[in-house]
Amino acid sequence: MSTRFDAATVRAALWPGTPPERTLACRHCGKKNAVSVADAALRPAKCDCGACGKPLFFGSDEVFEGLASTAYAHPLDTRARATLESIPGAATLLRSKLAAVDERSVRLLCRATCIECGPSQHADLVALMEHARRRLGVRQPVTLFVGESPFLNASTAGVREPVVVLQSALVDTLDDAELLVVLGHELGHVHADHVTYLSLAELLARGLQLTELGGLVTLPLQLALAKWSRCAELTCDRAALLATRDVGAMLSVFAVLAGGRRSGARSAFDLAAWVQQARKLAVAEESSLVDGFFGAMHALDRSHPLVAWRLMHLVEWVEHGDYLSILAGDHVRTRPA
Amino acid sequence: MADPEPTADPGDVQGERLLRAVESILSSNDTLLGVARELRKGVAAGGEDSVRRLAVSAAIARYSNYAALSGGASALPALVPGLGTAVAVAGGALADVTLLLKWELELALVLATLHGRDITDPTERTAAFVLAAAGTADARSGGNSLQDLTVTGGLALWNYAPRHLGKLLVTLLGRLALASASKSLLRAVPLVGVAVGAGANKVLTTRVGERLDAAFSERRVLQPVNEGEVVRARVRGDDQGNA
Repeated sequence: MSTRFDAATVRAALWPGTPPERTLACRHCGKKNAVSVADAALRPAKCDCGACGKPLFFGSDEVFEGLASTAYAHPLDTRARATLESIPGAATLLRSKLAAVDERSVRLLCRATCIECGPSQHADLVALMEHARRRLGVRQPVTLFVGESPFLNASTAGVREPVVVLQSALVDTLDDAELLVVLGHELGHVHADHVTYLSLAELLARGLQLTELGGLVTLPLQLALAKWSRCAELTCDRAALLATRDVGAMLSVFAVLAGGRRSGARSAFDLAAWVQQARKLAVAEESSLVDGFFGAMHALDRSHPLVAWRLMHLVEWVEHGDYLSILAGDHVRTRPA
Repeated sequence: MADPEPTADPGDVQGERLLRAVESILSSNDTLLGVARELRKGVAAGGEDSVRRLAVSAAIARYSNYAALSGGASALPALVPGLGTAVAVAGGALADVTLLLKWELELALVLATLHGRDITDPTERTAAFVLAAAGTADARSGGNSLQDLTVTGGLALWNYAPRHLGKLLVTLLGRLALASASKSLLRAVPLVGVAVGAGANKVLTTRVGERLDAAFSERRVLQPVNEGEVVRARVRGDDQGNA
């Protein structure tokens, strides 16, 4: 559990009133169980089936067998990927090129400018990454690097033997539970094969720009790619939650990205007030055309969604989406290799 | 229960193609469950039955408007003389039936949810699709597709195995795809095509929605949603819900 926000604090912030309820099938006896979202999301280990008495949710050491990225991907992300998959051979060809050329190039650059993590170098970070990798079922071996930067950022590259780079500001600022969130997010990009599909989409976009339609399609294509990129980030936030299974740690990382970690005299942070702020934003954008328009304009060309939206999307997914179903063992599985 | 084999239909290949095309643009269960929630919240408070009736009406109105917009838009190329007309004939009709089905299948799933059914259950989902496809085909042709395919009324559809439901769906979509190709010439007439496309889809989707509502309502009477099947999960810890 996050060291910053305990379950009671998170519960009070997200569900100050009565939390919503969900009905989930027990993976042991099949009986449907009604359970409070707050208990299921914050205390999954303490929830047992009301019929057979066995644990309703996966334990912290249990992995999601054969979890497919489509089980948790944002619908637009899934749809865009399906569209590109329908181009015969394109993804396979590009994957080969990325593995042979780009991946080697990036690995060389990382070795030249960053610290490669291993058994004798930041072994604790490697252990966290392996924990996230096992939980998500990422098969590829992943190499972790730590790079020097004052910006809270991380990146992923490569397809066959991916590379994840954590910037030093993240490593210095976040605790283990929060770093697990970041690593889970980056591994989500690997699990959902974003490197291949986003590269393919960008290649097609550049190709179209060279045609006579170039001037007409550039802006719409760039905006469409930016929107897909934002949806891919929401997919990876979901992957992070599945890797960490710690809603408090997710909220903590979002709060840090929004400027919610200060030192000294200004270190106090009211999580409930910040969640309330995000909820007001969501209501304003839904109920007012003008606010909705401004919100859309602010996000238009960004590759990442605005932080408050990431928080509300994740909470919506926990309350009404498939998070709890996946935790209860009901998820789309990959076909066996 | 015995599952009678649906009558074989020469359009099954077309039906498969149409089904794949529609599924690739269908909204996710998350989204549709969200729509159902939003529609229920948006109606005036009242008893369960009145909330459901109002939410169902709102759902039918919403999706028939979407269908009208896509029907008009698919005939828009006709406004461009020459090439526009050719596109409207060849491309507009196929795009229109795919989009129309998208709205109608989504309407079927939202209505199923409003009637208390679990759309994540494959049988429920496919049965809803079959009802929507049959409704669309019948609203266009005036026939009774399910009767033609020897599916009797009442609960018969929900007692089919998923595999047979899937075959039934493909057969119905095949008939729809073949029938749509013959209706495309009117779209080629500028402006008239846009109005015809929009108006026809609005009426069609409304009729399909009403038929879906009737089928789900009949089922509620014959096979009520059994809330007694749900047990309360046990949460270990103190009563205040602290960790």
